[in-house]
Amino acid sequence: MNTAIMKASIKKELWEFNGMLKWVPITLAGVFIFIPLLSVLLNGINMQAVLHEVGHIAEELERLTQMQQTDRLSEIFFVSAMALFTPFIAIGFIVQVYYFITCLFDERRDQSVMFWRSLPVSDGMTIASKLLTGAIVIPVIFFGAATLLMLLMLVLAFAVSVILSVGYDISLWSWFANAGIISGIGYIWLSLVPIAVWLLPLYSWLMLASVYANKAPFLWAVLPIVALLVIEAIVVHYLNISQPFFGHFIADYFSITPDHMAELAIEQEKSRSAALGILIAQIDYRTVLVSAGLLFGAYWFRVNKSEA
Amino acid sequence: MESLISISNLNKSYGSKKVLSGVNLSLSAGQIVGLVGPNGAGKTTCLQSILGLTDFEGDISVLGHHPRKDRVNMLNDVAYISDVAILPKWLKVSQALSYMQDIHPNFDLEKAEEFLAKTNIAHNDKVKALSKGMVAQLHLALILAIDAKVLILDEPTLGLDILTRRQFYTHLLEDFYTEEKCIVVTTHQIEEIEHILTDVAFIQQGKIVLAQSTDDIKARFNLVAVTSEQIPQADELQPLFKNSMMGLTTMLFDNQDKETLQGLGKVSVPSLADVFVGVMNKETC
Repeated sequence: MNTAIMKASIKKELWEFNGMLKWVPITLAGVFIFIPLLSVLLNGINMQAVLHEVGHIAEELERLTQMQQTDRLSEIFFVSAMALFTPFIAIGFIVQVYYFITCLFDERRDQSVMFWRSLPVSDGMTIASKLLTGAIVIPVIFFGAATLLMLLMLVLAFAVSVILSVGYDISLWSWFANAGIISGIGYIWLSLVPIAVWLLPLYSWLMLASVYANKAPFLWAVLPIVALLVIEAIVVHYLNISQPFFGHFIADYFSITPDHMAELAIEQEKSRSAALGILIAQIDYRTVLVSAGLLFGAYWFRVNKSEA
Repeated sequence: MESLISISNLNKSYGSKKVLSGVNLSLSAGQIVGLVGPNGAGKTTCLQSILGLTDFEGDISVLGHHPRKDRVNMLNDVAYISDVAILPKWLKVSQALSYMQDIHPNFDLEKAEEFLAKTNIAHNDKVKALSKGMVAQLHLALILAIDAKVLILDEPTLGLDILTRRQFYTHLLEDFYTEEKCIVVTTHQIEEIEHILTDVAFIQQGKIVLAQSTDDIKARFNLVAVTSEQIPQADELQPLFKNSMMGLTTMLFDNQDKETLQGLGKVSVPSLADVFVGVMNKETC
């Protein structure tokens, strides 16, 4: 596989979806920055109450540090970081879904597919570059935006710590030392690839709908699944079969149940490695088989579907 | 002459509808071939088969490559313009140049920029901000900068005004064409390009009904302005086409003795459009 062509193809995808991939994360980060600022501006700030609260938190953190509870501190940081990353991951996922549904449809709608296919880039390369863009590059953009926001907040926290330390004799330095900031963010970034692999069947299905649909690719992505589940439910009901195969398959594969989480969390005792473990546990032979089949379908339609 | 494109017994059907039927063509370096036919004759399907954009039955070899099995390597030396509307609207000129340079081994950025400098197209312009004519110029700039051996043009000037159309073909001859290259072009405005064509292939209902050099066609066909008293005699020679207008009847004859025709009226060399109408008329009769 020619990496120069792959890079050029991904660059092309980013140009095409430039507006969405630039402004959605910026807007989201802006919401996180400006809503608290707006709240302070509108409601004012009770410095005394804030200092009291911060002092209380500092004492608690100091107590945990003295009790050698550094794991607990890093857990607190990880959970806070996750709270910040989650909206970015969730909105990023919506953007990914939109990307996958339109990535092979739009070029056929505006007939530019004839231009792209007149160039020496293989259909396999096109499918692979679109998959890589949607599954990895878009999450990297949203993870990157969340990380930058996190760093901005840490810089602010550092500045506040200096002020508290110098002006009010409240020390948060032990928390900075023991929070496991880099490893916490690292764990979140590590989840990027497992998430992409876990959701590969979904991404592949959306690409297949995108390349197949002549109109309304979103409906092509949703309606066949809904129809299949409804028909299966009817068949199961009338034939008294114990449980629906596809319904069970989809629910089992895509759901991360609270029981499952608790089980793994107890097993691994740390929420950050548990989160990674849950994702990896979801990946199995079904991921490979379904994704391979659907991606081959998308490739086949790209090669053989006449655009004339 | 070296054969760059060789098509042998090409067949293509969409369901039960036969679109191409036993097409045979051989195109060589130095040829500018007009593939001409009415709407739905199979021109675009034929070109798409040559480009490997659709499956087909039969044998096609383009520069020694099979269009389906070796499409990417083939496209290093084959360029294609479908019509003016296919560059994506979101694309910037600078992005188009950058992408072409990244992916095409035979793309000459300087040549493309040189061509664009002669136009009103700026690097920062988006395709959606360009007029139809400018989009065609941009597309042409991208394609001319590829040192392709074969250029395939499918209605490249569709929807453009006459000035832009002429400019397009002038650039094609001046900036692209050499004796080592072959150009295949389909168009409805055959009269506008007949002076640049070296060869013509007329296609009707998926079949090639005439494939010859323009010189041979001019020697083979004759247009005669027949006087009214000579019409019965002229009819006996079975003209391909007959047109009466304002008391004057013109007839197109295929492979008839020139001296005999001169006895019927004034003989002139028909345009390719006249021959096309005549041949199509004969085929449908």
